[in-house]
Amino acid sequence: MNVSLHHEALLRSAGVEMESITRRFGTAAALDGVSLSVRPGEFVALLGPSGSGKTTLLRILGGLDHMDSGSVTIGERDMAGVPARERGIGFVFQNYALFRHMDVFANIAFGLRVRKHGRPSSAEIAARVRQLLALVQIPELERRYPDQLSGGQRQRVALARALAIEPSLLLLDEPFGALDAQVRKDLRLWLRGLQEEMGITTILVTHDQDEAMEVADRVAVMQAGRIAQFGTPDVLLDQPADAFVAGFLGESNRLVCEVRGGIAHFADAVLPSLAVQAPDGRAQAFIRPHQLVARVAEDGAFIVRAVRPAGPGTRLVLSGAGMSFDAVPAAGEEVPRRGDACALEAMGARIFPILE
Amino acid sequence: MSVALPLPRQPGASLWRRRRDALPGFGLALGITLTWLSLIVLVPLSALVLRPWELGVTGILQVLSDPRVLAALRLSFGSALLAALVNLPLGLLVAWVLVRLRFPGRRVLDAMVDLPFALPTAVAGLALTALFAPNGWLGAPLKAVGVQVAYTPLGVFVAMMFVGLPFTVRTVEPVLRDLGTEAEEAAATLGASRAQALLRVVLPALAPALLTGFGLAFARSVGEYGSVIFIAGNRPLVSEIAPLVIVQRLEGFDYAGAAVIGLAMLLLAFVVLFAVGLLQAWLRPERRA
Amino acid sequence: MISSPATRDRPLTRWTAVILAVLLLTVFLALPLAAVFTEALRRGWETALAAYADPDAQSAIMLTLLVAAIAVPVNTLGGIAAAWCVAKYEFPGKRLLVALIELPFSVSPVISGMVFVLVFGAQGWLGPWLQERGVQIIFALPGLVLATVFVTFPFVARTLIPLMQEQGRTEEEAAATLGASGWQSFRLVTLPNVKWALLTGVLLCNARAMGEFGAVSVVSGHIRGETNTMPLYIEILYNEYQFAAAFAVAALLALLALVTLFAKTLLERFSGRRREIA
Repeated sequence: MNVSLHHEALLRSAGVEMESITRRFGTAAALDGVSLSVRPGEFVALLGPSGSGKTTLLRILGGLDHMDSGSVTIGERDMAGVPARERGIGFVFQNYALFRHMDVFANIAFGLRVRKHGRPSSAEIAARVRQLLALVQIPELERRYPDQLSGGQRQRVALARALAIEPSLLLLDEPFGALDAQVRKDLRLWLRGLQEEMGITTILVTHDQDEAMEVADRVAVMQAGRIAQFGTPDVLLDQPADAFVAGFLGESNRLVCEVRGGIAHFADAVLPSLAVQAPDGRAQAFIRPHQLVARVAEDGAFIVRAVRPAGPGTRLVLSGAGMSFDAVPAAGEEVPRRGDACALEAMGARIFPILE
Repeated sequence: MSVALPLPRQPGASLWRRRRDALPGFGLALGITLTWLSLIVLVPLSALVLRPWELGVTGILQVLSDPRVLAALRLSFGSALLAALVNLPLGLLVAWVLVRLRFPGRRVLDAMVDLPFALPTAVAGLALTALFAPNGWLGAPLKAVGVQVAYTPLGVFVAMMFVGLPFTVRTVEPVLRDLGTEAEEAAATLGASRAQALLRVVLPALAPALLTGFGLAFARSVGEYGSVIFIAGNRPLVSEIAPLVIVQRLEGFDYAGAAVIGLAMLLLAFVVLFAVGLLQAWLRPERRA
Repeated sequence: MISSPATRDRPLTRWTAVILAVLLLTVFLALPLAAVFTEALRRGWETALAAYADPDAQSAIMLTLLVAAIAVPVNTLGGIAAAWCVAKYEFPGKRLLVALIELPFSVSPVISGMVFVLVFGAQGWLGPWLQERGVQIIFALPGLVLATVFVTFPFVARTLIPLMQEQGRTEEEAAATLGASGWQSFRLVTLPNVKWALLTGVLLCNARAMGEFGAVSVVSGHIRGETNTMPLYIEILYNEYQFAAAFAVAALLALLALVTLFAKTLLERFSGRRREIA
């Protein structure tokens, strides 16, 4: 059964080309010349803070919102003027948007039942719905109504309903946003597995970087209506394109410094200077917690405020110079305790010049 | 200077098409709505606004200075304001009982509140008259203590209270329910007495809803006709309400005169409602502080 | 609501409040209703039934049903269209539209009837023109229908708007992405979601349409057997001192009100929603 779905989806799976999409609300640009190319069968996450335009972009792809300029091509088809109902795109809404007066079966069957041309017989529809229910692993919930389901179950119904129309593209708007932490983790791994199995092109919108990094082949980091960087999770973490991406992804301590001759001097000499590869001038330094080492020192300018175990090591929160720092204890040395005075040293940093 | 360039357009997609909403049907629905609204409400109401001017300003003033018209307006607005005011504490009491207390028969009581909404006004008028007539169930005992309700301005007031009460109750009720008891509990933990909690915490929170209820009850009562004319007795200068004066002018084919009184009633009512709105706006920042 | 010790008043206070409320509502609401039925049956069932058998009464009943049968569908259709626009779309002038839809509620019934007289009456804008062509609107069925449509105008729209606004438009959007046409989405998603509220609105609209007095009184002309609806017929009987008959017809309308209230309560329990102010 899964095999048949697999082949079907592979054949139909479509690439997506977005070309300088702009969308304004009043005078504010929600999307400002966004271009993005998604390969057939790829899983892409749109990641960004709220208001960065990621949901607007998804709604434009789905035909639920219009763009002021730009173009969208899905498969080989230009989507200009194509209404949502003719796009054949599976859309999973943020709060699922299940039809509350229909049971699970009717929800999933909806897309097949409203077909104008080539509507399957009711036996075919029933078979197809059962197949999907099995696929999303909730066959026993067929006759339940949405308000009798848990969040995770609703999520599965919404997904099955979107898949019922055999979409060439699956769009997911914050699909795990309303779920508990544990359910959320389980579901996203399961979803990733399902997507791989079916090979359907999928675009997911999220503000949760763990989620994006975990499920997506590539992640587009969005900021203020633009794509700040588009790449695999590794690239984003190791080679952030700009200060926004570096600050948004992962944890870091952010400091202002002055680079002179390959040496970064921190403002007010908060930290010892550090050799970096960056042009001269004022710059923003991002120091990951594991790159910031604390050692106990009598005359240290930083006080340990909190100590917590983190995996095999320990994480420290220190304060000093009017700031707060996340750091780790120096390897092989005494672990500082709360209230201890410490000295801090950066072992490395990512430097982005400040453009004046 | 630069030459104005044509705006870039998407090939094959007109502005209209590109702007089209994902949900179809807006044009059709708005078309139906506007047709329905214009034919039934706007065009006829425009007659009310335009026709008085046939009389000229002096003619309008003449109509409005007719002692009978003045007395009727005074009675309608005076009783409506008073009835809405009296309905405030009564409506609050009923809303409180319905929301906060559990007792047998609560559901029946709850359903009963809507009775004046559902009961045809002529039936209500007839019923109140029967009840308060000098030989009625309430009229007889009241007469014994020297109070006559039916066929007096007091009857007008009673009928207006009847039609206005559900508005106060139903406006306050949901707000009271949403308010919950947390704020009162907080007040109690901070050492407030029960009366202080109610007066300083609950009442201010309900004030906007009470004012809305007042406005709705007033608006309904001031123009009320069916419930009032049976019990009012309709004595000119004494217990004749403004809508009745309008009816009489219409029956005498004095359309413009009737329109003058009608328009005056509407404008006066809007002034009252506007004042209520101002009072609400004035209360709001204090409430949110 | 379960009250905590901090917010529970003394039993004396609580019971005084309940008794006062019950007393108020009984004197004010239940007693008048009881009076209607008592007066109707004062001379016995036969008199009451005879009152209904009167040809004038029969024609009043038929006319009332006819007027409601025209006015209610008109306002249902208009109300659904208006609620759809207001709840599902953003457009300039939306607040004004809502205010205008609610306007008839803040207009005196007498004025509601009068506006049609001002347009269609003998001295009205179109009166003479219509008269030449032998078209009668005022003092005839069309006038009664127009006045009734006016006073019952907002009921359906205002029961639907808050519910549809609360439901938002994502279900319709979901239907669109699944391939449903606008009509399919309306029929299969929007309407079923609001059916109980719609029924409540129609019910209230109907109750008011059948019971309206002031507005139809102005446009009716009170022609016996022709332009008297039930409420108007009650007034005539009352003015002719036929009290038993007047109360008998009134009892019929009161019964309609009770059935409406009962059905409305049931519907609200179905839909699990609180009422809106009518």
